[in-house]
Amino acid sequence: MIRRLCHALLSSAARRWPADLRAEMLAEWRAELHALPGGGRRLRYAASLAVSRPHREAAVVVRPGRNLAHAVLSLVLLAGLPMVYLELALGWTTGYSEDTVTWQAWVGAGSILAAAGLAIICARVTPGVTQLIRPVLLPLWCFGSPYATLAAWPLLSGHLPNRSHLASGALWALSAVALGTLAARARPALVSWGIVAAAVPVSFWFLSMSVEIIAAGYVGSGPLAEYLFTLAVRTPVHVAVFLLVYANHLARRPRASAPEVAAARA
Amino acid sequence: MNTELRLTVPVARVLAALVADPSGDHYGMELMQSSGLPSGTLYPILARLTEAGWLDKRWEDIDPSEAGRPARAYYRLTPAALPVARQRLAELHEQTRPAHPHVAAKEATA
Repeated sequence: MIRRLCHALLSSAARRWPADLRAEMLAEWRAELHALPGGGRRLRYAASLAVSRPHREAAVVVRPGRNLAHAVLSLVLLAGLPMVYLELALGWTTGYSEDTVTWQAWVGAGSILAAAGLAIICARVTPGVTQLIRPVLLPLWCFGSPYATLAAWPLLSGHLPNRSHLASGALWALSAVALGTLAARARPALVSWGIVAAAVPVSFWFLSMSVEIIAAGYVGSGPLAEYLFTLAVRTPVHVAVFLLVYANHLARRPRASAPEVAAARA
Repeated sequence: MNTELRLTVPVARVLAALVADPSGDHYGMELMQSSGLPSGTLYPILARLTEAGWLDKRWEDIDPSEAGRPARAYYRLTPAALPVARQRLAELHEQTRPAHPHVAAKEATA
């Protein structure tokens, strides 16, 4: 029973290692496990490996035929989800009163977390995009797709787009793309994700070209609390979080090398 | 060989274990015992050191069916890495050495 569990843990650990080292490390661990005395020590040995991270991330290998499917799905998610969300969220972000600001703040903060979580899920189901689009271009892909959809949306219903909205939207997208690209190139991870966090309020500033405060007078504890409340409940902030996290999560994943892609094809 | 390797405390422990017997063949379980590191910390360090050219890794030359056990992997510091490892460990030792009581007293009164 313990032997089986140990082997399952080692196999699970090996799956997280880079493909070029996987078989070799598994053979080495099994040999050491074989030499270890006692079930407890064996279990500790295997469990420690199962919960640890390898020295470098395993590259995401996607079968070549699926790259295009992933790119199409990515386009649908990037163009569709923000549009649907902006329509749905319109109802709860327009009115404020002393009675509603507390739950609106909680819902807003929850929405930011949900946007980040959804972005990671979406990035995990579309890793093939990285085989077609270079990591540094991913922010452009991520903000260009919804911006183009947003700009074309009025045309579909026979109206001309609002120039002012187009201009502020372009500034929002460009500032987010610039910082998102910087984040994609930045190392280590803490710096990269720090730039992503900074890109959210910066791009929001470019959207309104001012430090916008809503519900002033309803939110207590001073201007900082009012500004944080504004950030938490504004839907463009949630959309920016989704797009930036999606782009950076994909950009930071190691790309498969040519031999790894060839092995996946075979 | 990549000499710009970041010398963290776990890396230093592994290097110290290897430097203690530079001509010996070291395997995972033995290095776990001498460095005091769990397997989940040790193997990523060994892989990083091997990829950086600090370690030679070779497989035990046995027939598993005859020996009744699988072949083990052995690690040894490369000839180029040995003096660098010694120097980096000495530097680390110097940095972390507590100040001499007389020096510490002088610094305190200065």
